[in-house]
Amino acid sequence: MNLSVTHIDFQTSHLSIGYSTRKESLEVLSDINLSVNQPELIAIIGKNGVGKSTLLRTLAGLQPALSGTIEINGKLNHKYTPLHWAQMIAVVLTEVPQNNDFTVYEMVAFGRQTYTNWLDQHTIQDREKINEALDITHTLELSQKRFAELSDGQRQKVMIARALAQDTPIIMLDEPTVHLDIHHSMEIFVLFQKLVRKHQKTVILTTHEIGLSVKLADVLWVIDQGKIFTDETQQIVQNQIISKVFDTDLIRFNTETMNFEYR
Amino acid sequence: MMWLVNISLGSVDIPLGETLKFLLLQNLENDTWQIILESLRFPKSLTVIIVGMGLSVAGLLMQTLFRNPMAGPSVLGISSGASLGVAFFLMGSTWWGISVAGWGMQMSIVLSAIVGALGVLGLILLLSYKIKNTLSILIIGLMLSALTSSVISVLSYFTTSQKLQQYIFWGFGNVSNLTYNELAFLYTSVGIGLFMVLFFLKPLNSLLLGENLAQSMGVNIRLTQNTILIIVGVIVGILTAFVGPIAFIGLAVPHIARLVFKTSNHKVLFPAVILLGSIVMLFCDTLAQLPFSEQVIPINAVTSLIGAPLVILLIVKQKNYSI
Repeated sequence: MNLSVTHIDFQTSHLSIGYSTRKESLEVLSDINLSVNQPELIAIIGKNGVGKSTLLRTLAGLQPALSGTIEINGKLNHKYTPLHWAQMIAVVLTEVPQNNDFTVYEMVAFGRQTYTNWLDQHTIQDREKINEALDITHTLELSQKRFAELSDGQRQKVMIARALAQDTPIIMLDEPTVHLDIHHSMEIFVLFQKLVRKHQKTVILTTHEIGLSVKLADVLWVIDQGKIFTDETQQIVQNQIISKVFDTDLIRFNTETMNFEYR
Repeated sequence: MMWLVNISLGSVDIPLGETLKFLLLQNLENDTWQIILESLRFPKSLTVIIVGMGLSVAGLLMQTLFRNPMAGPSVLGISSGASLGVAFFLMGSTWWGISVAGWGMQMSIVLSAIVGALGVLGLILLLSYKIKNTLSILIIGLMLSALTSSVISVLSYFTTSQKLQQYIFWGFGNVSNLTYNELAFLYTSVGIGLFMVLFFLKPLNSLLLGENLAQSMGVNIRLTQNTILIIVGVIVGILTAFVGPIAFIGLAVPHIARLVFKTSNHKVLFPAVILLGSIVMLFCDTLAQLPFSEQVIPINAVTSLIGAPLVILLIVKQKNYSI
C-alpha cells in the first residue's frame, strides 16, 4: 500500500488527562509531553489502572483533556473538523462491535466512511483501499463471512483492517491482544511491525504484553506513579525502568532474556 | 397486492377486478361500490400505509440509536407521552372549560399529542446529556411510560364518563374517518421526516459499531442523535394524534426486515422497513375489519396479535440473531 503520508508530527504539551464532572475533576496523569515524528511502534505499558487507556483515548480525541494541548502537524486538535481528524487517527477499541449482521467486507468498508459521499458510495479507490487492508491483515479469504461468526483473533484482525482502510498516518489501539492467546498476540504484534516498517504507519497501543513490547516495540511509554517515562525500548530496558515498575517479590524482569521470571 | 386485497375486503365485498379498475382511476358501473371505495376504503388504506411506514421507521431509528432490540416508539414513552397530551386535552377539558368540535377538535388533539411526544422526548434528550449509558435511558423511558399511564389513570378517575369514553375510543386506535385534507397533512409531515432520514443512513450504520468508533470515523454523534430523536418524536406524535397509539408495529417490523434481508445495513433496511411496514399494517387492518363479516375490531388488538408471535417465531427459528 503506497500511502500518501509524508511526514507526521504529533505533539502533546503539558497535557493533563482524567475525568471531570461539574463538581470535581479526577486527574489521572499530568504534565505529559509526548512527541512522535516518524513511523514507530509505540507501546504504552504500566500496571492496571495507571491510566493507559485514558491516555490513549485522550490522544485519539475520544475524551477531552483536562488541560494542555495536543497537536498534529502544528495544528491544535480542536482546530480540526471531526472528519479531518478522522483522516489523521484511526482507532481500534476494546469494545468489539456486537449485535450486528455485517459481513467482514462491510465492516472493513466502514473505514472508508471518512471519505465517501453522503450515500456512502464506494469509488474504485475506496474498493482498492478496502482490499489492500484485507490483504495486509490476511483476512481477504474471510471477506464474505459474517463478522459475528469469527473467532476473537479473526475479529481483532478485521478491526485492524477497518482502521487501515481509514488510511490514516496514525493508528491507536487499546489493548489489541487482550483476548488472544500467545500465538495470535505474536501474529498481531508482527503485523504492527510490518505496518510501521513497510507501510510507514505510526502505531500506538496500550498493552499488558510486556515481553512482546520489549522485543518488538520501537519506543515504550511507561506509566508509573503518575509519571510517564518515554524512550527507545533499548534505553528503557538498560535503565532498569521495566524492573523498577513491574518487579515484585514474586517476579523479576531479566534484562538478558527480556522476560519475567519467578524469583 | 396487499393494498388491493385490503381495499376490496370489508363488510361489503367488492370484487378484486373492480377494485383494480378503481385504482386505475376508471369509473365503476356500481355507484355504491364507487362511493364506498372513494370515501371510505381508499382513504383508510392510505392512512394505514403511512402509519405502517412511519411507525416502522421510527422503530428502526430508535433500535439503532439505543443499540437495543427492545427499543420502539412505545417503549421510550414517546407514544405514552402523546397519549398523555391527548388525555390532558380530552379529559382535562372539564376543568379549563374549553369545548371545541369538528376540525378544531382534531387539530387540538394533534397539537396535544405532538406536545406530549416532544415533551417526553425533550426530557429524555435532556437526561441523555447527563447519562451516557443508553440502557439507562431505555429504563428511564420505561419509567416515563409507567408514569404517564398512571397520570392518565388518575385523570380518567376524575373525569366524566362521556369524556373517558371519548378518550378510550381514541386509545383503541382508529385508522378510518380521515379526510383527504388530513391525509395530505399526514403524508407531507411524515414524508418530510422520512426524507430527512435519507441523509442519516451512513451515520446510522456507523452508530451500530458503537459511539466511540463512530466518533473516531468523523461522525458528529450529538447532531445525529438529536436530529434522529426529533424526527422520531414528530413522526410518532403526529401519527399517534390521528390514529391513536398503535402498538407493536414499530418494534416488530424492523426485526422482520432484518431477519428477511439478513443485514444490518440501513441502506437496505430503510427501504425494506418502509415496504414491510406498509404491508404488515395493511395485513393487520384487513384482519381488523374481519372479512366476510359486519364487525370491526380495534386495529391495536390485531397488531399485537400478529406482531408478537411473528417476532417470537422468527427469533426462535434463527439462533444467533442480532440487531
